[in-house]
Amino acid sequence: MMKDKNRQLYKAGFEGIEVSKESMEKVLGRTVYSKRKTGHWKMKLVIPVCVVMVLLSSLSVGAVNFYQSRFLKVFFVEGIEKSERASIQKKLLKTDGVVQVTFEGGDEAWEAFQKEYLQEIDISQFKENPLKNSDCFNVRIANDVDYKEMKAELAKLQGVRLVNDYQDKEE
Amino acid sequence: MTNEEYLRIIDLYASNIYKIAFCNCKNKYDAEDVFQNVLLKLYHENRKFETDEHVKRWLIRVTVNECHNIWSSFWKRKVAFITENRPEAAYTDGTESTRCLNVVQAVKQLPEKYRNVIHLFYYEDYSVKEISKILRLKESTVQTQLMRGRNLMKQLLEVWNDER
Repeated sequence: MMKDKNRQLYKAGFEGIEVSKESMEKVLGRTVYSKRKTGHWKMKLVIPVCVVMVLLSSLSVGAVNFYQSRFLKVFFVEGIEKSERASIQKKLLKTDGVVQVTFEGGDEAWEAFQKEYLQEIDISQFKENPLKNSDCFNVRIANDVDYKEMKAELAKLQGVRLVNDYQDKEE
Repeated sequence: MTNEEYLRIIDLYASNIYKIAFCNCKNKYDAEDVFQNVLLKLYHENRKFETDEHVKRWLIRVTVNECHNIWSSFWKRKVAFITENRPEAAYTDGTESTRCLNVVQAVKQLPEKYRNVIHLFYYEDYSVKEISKILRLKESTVQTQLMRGRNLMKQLLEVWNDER
């Protein structure tokens, strides 16, 4: 009985306490009357984050490709003499756009190949160096030089068998 | 939830949500903030509510949590506000309207844990068992809080009837 009286008293106390029109309009404006469909803030971040990630990955791939494109491998004709090789090196160094020329012998290349790819394979089956004819010059070219043009130019040099770039498979 | 359904729920329970927020917040601006947050949460809630009563209980629970969050922020804990004074509340001439206003003042003076139990019991007509489910408290805890809340209400309000 007393409980009911208190209930009546309590309910009467809260009569007239209502939310303001402005507040209600604010809520409705941000929900049902909103022109754009609002989503959770985490969902809103998904697209920009994806775009940034794609941009970053394409930038890094581009940077790696550009770096790799600065190197050409110049292979010689078979049985080339050391003196002829030296003259090729001189010609290379005189060529505009060539920054650096380093020699890579077949033995050196074989060792590097073994370290990188043949660590778990028995290499005793190779009686001789399979890359003995792959002596070459690693030519680093300037950043503003088109590597395709440079490749074509170097391929014309006497005593040069092949010029490879980073996209070619080494022969 | 469709827009029609959302508007229907607001129509049904907006007043209840605001009243809970109002007795838990120190001023009407905070209560309105809580009210707006709760309704925004409802709008973005993906769950399928089984019944209207289910929505109501969910709204009560979210409102209580929002009120708790608003007062647990560092700023609110450390800053004293000039509370909104309602001149009518100061009158104690014993008329029905002034007694009614004092009920709200008295509830606001109760500790937070008693406030919600008292409000759900006396305004929303929930039983102890239902309150324990909504607030996720033990029934015995609700019973104790209700009893202590009543005693405090009795001390704060002359017109409050002794239920013992």
